Amino acid sequence: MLNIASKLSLAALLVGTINTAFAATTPAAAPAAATPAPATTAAPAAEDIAKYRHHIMETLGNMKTTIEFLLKGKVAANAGSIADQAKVMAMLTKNIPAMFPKGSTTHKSDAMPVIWEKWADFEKLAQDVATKADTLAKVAVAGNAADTEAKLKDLGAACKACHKDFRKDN
Amino acid sequence: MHITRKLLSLAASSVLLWNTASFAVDDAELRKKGEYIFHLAGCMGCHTDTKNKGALLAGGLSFNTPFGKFYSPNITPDPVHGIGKWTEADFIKALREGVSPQGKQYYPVFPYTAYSQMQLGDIKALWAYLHSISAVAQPSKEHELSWYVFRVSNRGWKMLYFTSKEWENIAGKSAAWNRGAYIANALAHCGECHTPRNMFGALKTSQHYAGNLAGPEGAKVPNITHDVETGIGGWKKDELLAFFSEGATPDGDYTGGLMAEVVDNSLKYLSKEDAEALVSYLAEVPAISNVIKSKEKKRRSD
Ligand code: HEC
Ligand code: HEC
Ligand code: HEC
Repeated sequence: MLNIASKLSLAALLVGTINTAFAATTPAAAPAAATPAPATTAAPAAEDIAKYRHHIMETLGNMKTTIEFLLKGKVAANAGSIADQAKVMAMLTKNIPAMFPKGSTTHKSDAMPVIWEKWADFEKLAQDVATKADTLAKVAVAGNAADTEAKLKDLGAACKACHKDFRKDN
Repeated sequence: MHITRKLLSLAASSVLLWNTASFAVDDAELRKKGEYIFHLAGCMGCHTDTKNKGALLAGGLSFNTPFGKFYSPNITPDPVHGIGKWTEADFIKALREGVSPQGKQYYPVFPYTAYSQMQLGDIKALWAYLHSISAVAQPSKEHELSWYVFRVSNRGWKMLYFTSKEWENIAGKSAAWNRGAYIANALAHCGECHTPRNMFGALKTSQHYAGNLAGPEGAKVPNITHDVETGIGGWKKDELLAFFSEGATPDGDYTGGLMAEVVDNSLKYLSKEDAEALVSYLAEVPAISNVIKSKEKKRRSD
């Protein structure tokens, strides 16, 4: 069982990775809607990208859980920073579609193939999550607990919306 | 038609006034109660084709089953394509006995098997609500079933697997448990997905809520008995409440697919007391060890 501190450092590490990945592939200001439809990728990369997105998705879930620990006072306030953890969520959700190249469903994946048939819808749900995570980060920095809790719920509803349409029941 | 109904209900309310000298239940109040029942009973998810932006309760959703493809009918008050010509008694009979006004035996994809346990007052409220929504003139689609499936055989099926009986509270259990059992089994029909079926499509009652590898649309439906290892015995009360209201799971994930629909269409509407009642009931669902979600699936990044 990872403790919170090591989860946090894992997240920090992931943020580092994803930031560099983005710097290399997408211009900073490009809106997610402009991402071109993914080309068919070579087989060897499929497994890695699936594993990679599992790590990112799990980290999103972990950040959400640790924010709740802090918000509800289940752990002492100095065990983490709601604002930092919210910022991690905002950073990690900037370009979710890039983690879903076509055909990357071979490694323990519940991603539904319909993702690539309804790519525009998928991008829209991803963009909605990115926007809501940004809002969460902003209110978390401002520091009002009730606002933060409300925005965290909004974000969660947006995560669920994508899982509803694009993830297999398993 | 509408005027007659108004008059009838006026007459009914004056009778009430006379009899009890109290205030009659307001129509709007009854519809509001009906809407709540409508949400909890999950009629929305099956009778509205949300994915294709279909009109409320106009049907047209398809269900792939081992017996063929079923389509949900239009249940708006349209007199031709919906249930506009039905009487309240017809509606009660459909839910309680699984029989249409023309005597057609319904297939159990329509979970009348659960709704037959609904309290009469709830069915009546539901009827009042259903009659208040907009009529949609959209024809219902014919089912596309395997050659060996017939409506008449539903009669035999019922003799084997169905008894119509309104829910009765079980003595010795708390009020909360009883309310939770009613919500889970008569309204929200959790077992329709979470309990496995035999080869005739009937629920295996000995495996109540133990999970179903062959759920609707091929879904793997998890074990939600109180078993700690393979079910949800380890979930705390506030984790279950967060699941009902937001679809959030204790591991930080958000539920998807069919269950996300159940949360969005039904569970998020639960009043605080009803949500707590459902928790009380789930906490006492006998533990059955049955692995549906493998450990490997739980942490996919490894
Ligand atoms: C645009 C769609 C989309 C959005 C938005 C999204 N997810 Fe996911 N998520 C998926 C898909 C698809 C999978 C399944 C991936 C697979 O199995 O290959 C998944 C999987 C997961 C998993 C399980 C781990 C895994 O990879 O299987 C967790 C936890 C998770 N998501 C959390 C979240 C959280 C928290 C959010 C919101 C902050 C979120 N997701 C937003 C589509 C999305
Ligand atoms: C799991 C999906 C499902 C749910 C949930 C569901 N229905 Fe249905 N319903 C169906 C299907 C499929 C049929 C067609 C059955 C048949 O043809 O034998 C049907 C038939 C009906 C009919 C008969 C219509 C006619 O024209 O004969 C009525 C009335 C009805 N449903 C009302 C409801 C109400 C009210 C609810 C909520 C309390 C509800 N249904 C919930 C799937 C569902
Ligand atoms: C239409 C089918 C359906 C109905 C009805 C339904 N469920 Fe589910 N449920 C599912 C599926 C499918 C999943 C798995 C979702 C996933 O993989 O994201 C699930 C997941 C769950 C989970 C999460 C379990 C876990 O181990 O992650 C719980 C708790 C749950 N359901 C409780 C209920 C309760 C309580 C009811 C009734 C009030 C209910 N469900 C009704 C299909 C259904």
